[in-house]
Amino acid sequence: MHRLSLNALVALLAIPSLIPLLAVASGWWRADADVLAHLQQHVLPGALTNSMLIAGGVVALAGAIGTGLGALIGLCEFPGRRWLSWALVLPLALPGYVLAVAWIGLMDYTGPIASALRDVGVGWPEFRSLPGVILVLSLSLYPYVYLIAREAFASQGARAMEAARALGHAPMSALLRAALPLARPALAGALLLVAMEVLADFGTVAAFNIDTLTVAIYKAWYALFSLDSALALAGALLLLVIGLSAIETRLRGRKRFSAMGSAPARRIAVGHWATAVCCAVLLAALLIPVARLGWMAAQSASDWPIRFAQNSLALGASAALCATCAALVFALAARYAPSPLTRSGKRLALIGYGMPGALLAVGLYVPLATAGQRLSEQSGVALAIHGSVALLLLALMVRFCAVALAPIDSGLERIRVSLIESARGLGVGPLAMLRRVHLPLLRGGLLVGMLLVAIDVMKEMPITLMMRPFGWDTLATRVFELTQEGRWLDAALPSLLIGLVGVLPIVLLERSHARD
Amino acid sequence: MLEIDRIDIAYGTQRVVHDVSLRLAKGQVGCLLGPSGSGKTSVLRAIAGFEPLVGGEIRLDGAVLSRQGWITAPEHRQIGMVFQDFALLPHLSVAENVAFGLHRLAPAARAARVNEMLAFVQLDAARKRFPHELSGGMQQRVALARALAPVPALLLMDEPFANLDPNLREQLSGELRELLERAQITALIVTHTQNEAFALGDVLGVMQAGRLKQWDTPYAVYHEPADADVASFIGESVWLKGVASGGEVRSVLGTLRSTRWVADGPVMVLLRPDDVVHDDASPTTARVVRRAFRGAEFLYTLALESGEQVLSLVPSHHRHAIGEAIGVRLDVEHVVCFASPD
Repeated sequence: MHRLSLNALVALLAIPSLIPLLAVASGWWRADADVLAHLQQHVLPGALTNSMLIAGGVVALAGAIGTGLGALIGLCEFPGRRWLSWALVLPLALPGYVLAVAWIGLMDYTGPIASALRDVGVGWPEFRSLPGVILVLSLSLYPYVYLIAREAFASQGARAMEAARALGHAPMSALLRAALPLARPALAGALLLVAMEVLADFGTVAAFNIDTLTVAIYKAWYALFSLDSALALAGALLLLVIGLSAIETRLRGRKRFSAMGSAPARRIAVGHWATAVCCAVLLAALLIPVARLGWMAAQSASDWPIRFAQNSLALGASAALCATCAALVFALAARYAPSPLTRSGKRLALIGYGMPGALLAVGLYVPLATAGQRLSEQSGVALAIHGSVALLLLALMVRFCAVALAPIDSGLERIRVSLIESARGLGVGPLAMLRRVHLPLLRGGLLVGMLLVAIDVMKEMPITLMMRPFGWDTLATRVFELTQEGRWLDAALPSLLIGLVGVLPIVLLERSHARD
Repeated sequence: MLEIDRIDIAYGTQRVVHDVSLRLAKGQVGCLLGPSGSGKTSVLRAIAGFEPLVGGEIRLDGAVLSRQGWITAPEHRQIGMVFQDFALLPHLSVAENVAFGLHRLAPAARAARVNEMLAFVQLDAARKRFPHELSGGMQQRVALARALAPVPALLLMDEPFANLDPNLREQLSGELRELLERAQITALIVTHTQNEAFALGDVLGVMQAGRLKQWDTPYAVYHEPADADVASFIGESVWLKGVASGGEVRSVLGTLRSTRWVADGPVMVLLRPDDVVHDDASPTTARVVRRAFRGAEFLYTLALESGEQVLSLVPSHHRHAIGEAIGVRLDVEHVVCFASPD
């Protein structure tokens, strides 16, 4: 009975995820030949090269930092290991562009280090360069790799190390030949995630003034106002993202990697150098940037960005509500009305998370704006599509629905079928079931999902930037505008506030980790 | 020869192994038996070099491996270990797993040794397969072949049957015993199941609460337990009150001659189910309280006139109803008694 309406609801919610995919995929065919030729000659080669170089560099650097720290924390014992274990996750709170504001302020030509060196006559390389952005993005993204590596090494890695050592391998050989190969699939997944994040990044590369695909999309959109070029560039980005996802599916072969048990094992004692290494990363990724931002904010003459903070909160809360409701529908439908449609609805939600914000904004805006224009021409009623909050919320829902889906899904998994069946046997109907069984039991998952989405939305930059109502700024878009105007000092306070908000989900995450 | 002298092991401030000593001669198979948390796995891990000692000493063939503040790294001990979960590396094939500890051999010698070990555990046909494609018993043989391949001076096995189907355990423990004998390896096996310990061990130790209560042949541990805890842990047992004087123990089931010295006064006599025999001619009777059918036998729980209860194994053609009084007598070869705690 309710199966049909559930299916219809899923279909309705899945359409917004499909629109950008179709629009972007069709962008290459629709585009004007002149526009395409211009892009291919002048924009695409540079942007593509930059995107790929930065992605490659960050994957290598963040991979090395994250894997190294994961091995130290997961396998070794040294002074301070316990607090470093969670402290090393904290840099996840700072989005790349916040870190960029801090580090550019410190390392730029006018910054204290370059000035001091100039006074003694020593040259200083330009920090706003590819190596600079790779360094900053790696410092903000290494926690993804670290979290996965720590888990992999601490569980089955430690046992594999013992097995290898009992067979005569020294610790380093055991790490390279047993623990690392075992962690490889997990690490590959984390590195792929990092690559996706880098390709999707807009704020950091924009602050570094480097033209990547996302920046090119934005410029085509605003500076040139060429929707066709923006769509075509988004098509190139989509190809890269799809290529990466294809790699992930290919990586899994016949071997299985989770078969090893994970009995507790004793960690290998190492010296203070391990503490020093961890502290160095923590300094560069968290303490120095936060201190620098604090100093910059104190120097700045601007007021507290209260209005922008309010906008951020309001946008985060409403987007969280939309995304969580959609996620709840997807999760319930996939569980209780399994069909090809409901299953693909869930998959589409995940695809939305994989779509870079700039791509999503263009891909959703262009077809809807065109359709809206046609509609108002025919009906004579003015439909304000551009800059409508509804469209912005829709885009954010598509992007972050998957974030809410994960905790809801895991909550749903804990509701056993027998529980539902027994409630049915007691005469509880489908809607009453939702109200009396699911919502109370899923409350925790729903709250966590909403919180995570709200925080992600507040940190998000490109979608908000490209689809917000004119003149309506959040903390994130304010940081963008200030950095584009070169007002680095004034950008510090909103950056700091965004970082502060970002700490919340990490505290949640590490608390649940400690409980396990 | 493995020599363990009065070792202590601690996790932080919590001492989990107290004053454990044992000897294992070359070619002997020893079993450490005890409930979970008794410290037996810690002893094994200390021998392997994964746990440091806070007291005592571990020697292998005369060389000190561990003592307080000194530990030879596991990779330098020449001790093979079979982990409870077998710890086969899931990204390596069977042959690659067996070759994993042979990294110091030249490729030709390594291949030869792998072939030899695979033949030894009869897994030639499975050499290219991956661990998750094997049955539990086969995984155990791979783990054994891998541990034996580098020719260790000592083999350690942690709960070798815990991860296997209970129905297969008896058959597999026979196979393992045979493999260990053919390999002529000195081995120490940790288990919490006494049947496995009886089937595998030349020597058997019972650990309780971090202490090694007894280290002796399985026969002696069963029939001449060192204390009441060991007696209760090994085999089914009940305790009967008695009074000792001059080596004679008087009980409601008659007078017995104690196998070893016991102080005069109130004692507890250990009775195994096979010590209490059903005999219609016996003047002593007991009432049937419970009856458990075991196929060839009944295990009767019998209440004596004194109110005490004993267990008796009786061939299953002797079928008696609950409440019925039947004649019993004692047929005890080893009379074990301990001074009464109260």
